[in-house]
Amino acid sequence: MYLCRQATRHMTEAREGTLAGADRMWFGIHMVICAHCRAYRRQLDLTVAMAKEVPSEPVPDKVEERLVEAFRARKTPKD
Amino acid sequence: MPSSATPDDDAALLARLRDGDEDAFRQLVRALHGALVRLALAFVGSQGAAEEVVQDTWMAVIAGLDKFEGRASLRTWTIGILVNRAKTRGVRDRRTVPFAPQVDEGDTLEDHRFSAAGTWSSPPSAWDKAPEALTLRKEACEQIEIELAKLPPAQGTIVMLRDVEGWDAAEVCKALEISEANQRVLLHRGRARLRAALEHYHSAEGRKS
Repeated sequence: MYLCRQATRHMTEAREGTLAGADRMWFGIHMVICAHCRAYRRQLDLTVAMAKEVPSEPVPDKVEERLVEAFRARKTPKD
Repeated sequence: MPSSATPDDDAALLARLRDGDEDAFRQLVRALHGALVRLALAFVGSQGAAEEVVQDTWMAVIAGLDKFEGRASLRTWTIGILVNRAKTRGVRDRRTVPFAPQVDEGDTLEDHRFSAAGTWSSPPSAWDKAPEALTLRKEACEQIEIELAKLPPAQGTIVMLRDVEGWDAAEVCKALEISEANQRVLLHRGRARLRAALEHYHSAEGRKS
């Protein structure tokens, strides 16, 4: 039987678009009939949306300036 | 520079870099630096070593700009240089990479919340529908950052690259040299842990008020 345990395991695969065949069909049916799994999916989507809001680690100013300096010092072929 | 940059964007950026355009270089560094440090950490033993490897990578990018043939995108080329260097450094530091193949059954975080038959015995609470969910969103985002740092390293690396840095699955698999299935299982486990942490956080906040 395809139940909530399998459906939760398939959430990411479904989101990635790689769930195929019978699993994909059962997943689709299960999501229609199971409010708990729909809540789980909604929360997983929200979690991903929030993780996307986490800022990427900025480049420390000193590091950026050192790199730009090295870039400036680079010899172009014309030199 | 998102992973969806077109070849034309890439050619334009490369031309500017070859012309010595500092703004173009800053743009490239800012777009990739954080992700490169994150990626290097998967191979080397410490934050310091990761930062060194990333700086070496940028030096190699600068030195290689004129020889770069544009067969891959600038971004892919840079990531390739980083991975090579990080692997060499990791071997030198005798570091083992935590990306063992994952088995797709069992060992998911929610297992204890299902009945023996496989239906929810302790269903997800409706924390995302609670009236305070929106006002808590900013705090919850901070909570996600804290929880991300606590994830097992392989899961943390993949969630950071996929969700925070916005890389696609193929790019992550290639950089970490893992299979698509392995990547997906680790991504799922990492995200599931974050979801559970948010649920826990909201129920604890709910009890406080």
